[in-house]
Amino acid sequence: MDLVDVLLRIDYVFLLAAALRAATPIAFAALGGIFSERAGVINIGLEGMMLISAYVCYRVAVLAASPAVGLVAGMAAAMVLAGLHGLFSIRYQTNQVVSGTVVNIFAAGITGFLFRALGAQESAPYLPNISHPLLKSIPVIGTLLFDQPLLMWVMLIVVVVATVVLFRTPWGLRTRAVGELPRAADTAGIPVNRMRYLNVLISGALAGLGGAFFTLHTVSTFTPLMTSGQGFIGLAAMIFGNWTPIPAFLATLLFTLPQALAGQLQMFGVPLPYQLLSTLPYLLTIITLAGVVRRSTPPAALGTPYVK
Amino acid sequence: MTEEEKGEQFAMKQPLYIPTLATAVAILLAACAAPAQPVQQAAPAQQKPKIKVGLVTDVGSLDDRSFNASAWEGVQRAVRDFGVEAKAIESKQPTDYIKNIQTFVNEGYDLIITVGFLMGDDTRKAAEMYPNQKFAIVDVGYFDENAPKNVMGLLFAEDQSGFLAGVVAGMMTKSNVVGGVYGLAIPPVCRFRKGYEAGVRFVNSNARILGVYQGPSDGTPFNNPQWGAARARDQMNEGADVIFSAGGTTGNGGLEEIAKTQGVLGIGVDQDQYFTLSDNVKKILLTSAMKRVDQSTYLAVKSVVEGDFKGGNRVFDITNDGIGLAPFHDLDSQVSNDVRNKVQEVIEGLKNGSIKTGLEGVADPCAN
Repeated sequence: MDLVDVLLRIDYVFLLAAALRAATPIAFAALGGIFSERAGVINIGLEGMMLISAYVCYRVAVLAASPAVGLVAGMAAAMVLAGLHGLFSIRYQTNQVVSGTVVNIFAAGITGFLFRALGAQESAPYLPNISHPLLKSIPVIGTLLFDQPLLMWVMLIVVVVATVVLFRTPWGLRTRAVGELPRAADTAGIPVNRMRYLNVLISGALAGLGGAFFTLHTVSTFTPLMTSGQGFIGLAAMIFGNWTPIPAFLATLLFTLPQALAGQLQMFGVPLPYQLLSTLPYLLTIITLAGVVRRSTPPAALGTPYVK
Repeated sequence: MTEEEKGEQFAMKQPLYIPTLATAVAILLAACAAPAQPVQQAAPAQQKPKIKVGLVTDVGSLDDRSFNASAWEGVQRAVRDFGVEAKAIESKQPTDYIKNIQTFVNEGYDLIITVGFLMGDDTRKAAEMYPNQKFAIVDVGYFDENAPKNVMGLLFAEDQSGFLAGVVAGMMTKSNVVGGVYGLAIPPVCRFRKGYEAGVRFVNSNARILGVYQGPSDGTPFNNPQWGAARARDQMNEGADVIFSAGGTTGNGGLEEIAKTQGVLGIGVDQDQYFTLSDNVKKILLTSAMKRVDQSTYLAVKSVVEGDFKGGNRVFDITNDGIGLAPFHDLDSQVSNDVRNKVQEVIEGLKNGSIKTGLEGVADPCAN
């Protein structure tokens, strides 16, 4: 089948729906990164936080026979790691990249160990899909929105809420102040380090939601390193979106849409090497970065601990 | 500034021990989870010969419930049967291969077994460096003139195994669309896929056959369940109702996705995955296209014990029980006698050579 035939055959609504689903954990990581970094703390440990959440969600959901309980536990586990990262970066002024890397190594180690010790053959119960028999039959919108995982909906809502919180509330203003000019914020009476802790914890909670997507929506079991680097893609999307929620979310689609497309092209047997097709997301990223995004400006105090 | 404040400030500026300590603990824990050091030691059953066998895994753990596990199982069987001594080292990354092989060479092991296609180059290098050391490698054969004489290449006729799975899929499909989610396109995977597709066509010439390989940029090779799940969904959207998944946990992700949908069946790979996959998948797992890695490592050890070890390639296929089809387990009642008879007929045909998969003697199954 040649390329044109295939391009005419592809079900684009289905494709977009698939890209939205795939974007969910990446977007959660990006949002987590935004909160942490807007407050001035680099968070490279998102991958590890997602991974530990994926494991804890799985294990607790099996034990409690409830995906909701699993979700809460997974988020809590990710927040514990975030808290540690905060402690290292804020209280002890460790290099934040190192601290984040430690989080990643730790999460890979502990989940690998637990997987080995306890196995993972029981299936965890899934979180529900948001599905409505009537709304589902609306053309386009029905497929895109009304037969989709719960956490995809949560992600879309968080994108909007995060935008409002960061740019329309005093709390968001303080967060940004703390990340841009902590001394000035301090002078104005904002508790710099407390704001940073809180934002790092929020970042952990969001990464926890992202991790939950793997074991409470995608597959019913855990496998080591199953997050497969998506936390890092989330960080890329965050930078791409210039540390703002909506553009970062759109950037995640820039990764997942070409990937979904590449999958379809290969399935329909387009006479192009699939190895090349699978580089499509990255190729598009480079092109977009070179052409569209002029310059990304990180928060001014990013990575710098605040000492009075 | 009071003395107290000064003290506090001093304390803040001190790089404290806690983060350092925590880092150390984290790394230690990571090390515990996947040690590069020998992790398992099987005690010899008897005292006499003390032939020592070392196994180096591919990236992934000994209990991956798949490839490495199967290879180690064969070695352990040999430990029980022949009283040899065996040790395994897990590779954490590709750069460990040669290091781990070297460890066994230094300790004077009689046979070193390496597991997996990706270790082909390093094993060859080591074999050339130590021409008196016996090696066996799973999934790799050396075909050129200069092939090392001290390596036993343990190859499998994955195409026959896939062919049998294809026969079942081609007969079981109601929609007349069958699918496949595959790992990276390396020879064993390509043989599985092409054999499977040939098997489907053998029984059902007008079935539509879909399939995707995981690309090198599609996340971690053989370990991106989410990608596999998405691709299985693509194929179900095209109407596939039997899907073969051959790609580590990437493929397993496909099986998990199938399990969410009514009326779609999955086929596993390498070993009887009924015993290794999640409870959800068990319910939809029709069969598995098996290759008996355990049998191959067992026989490799046996040849050393009996003193008739020879370098060169050994193929494990349907004639020596090196490959086969797993039982239907939970879906047994859904499989008609027609299907069973056909499978039996194809097994006989493959054995006596009257049925060909089309990949016999093909050096590069991944070409085109």
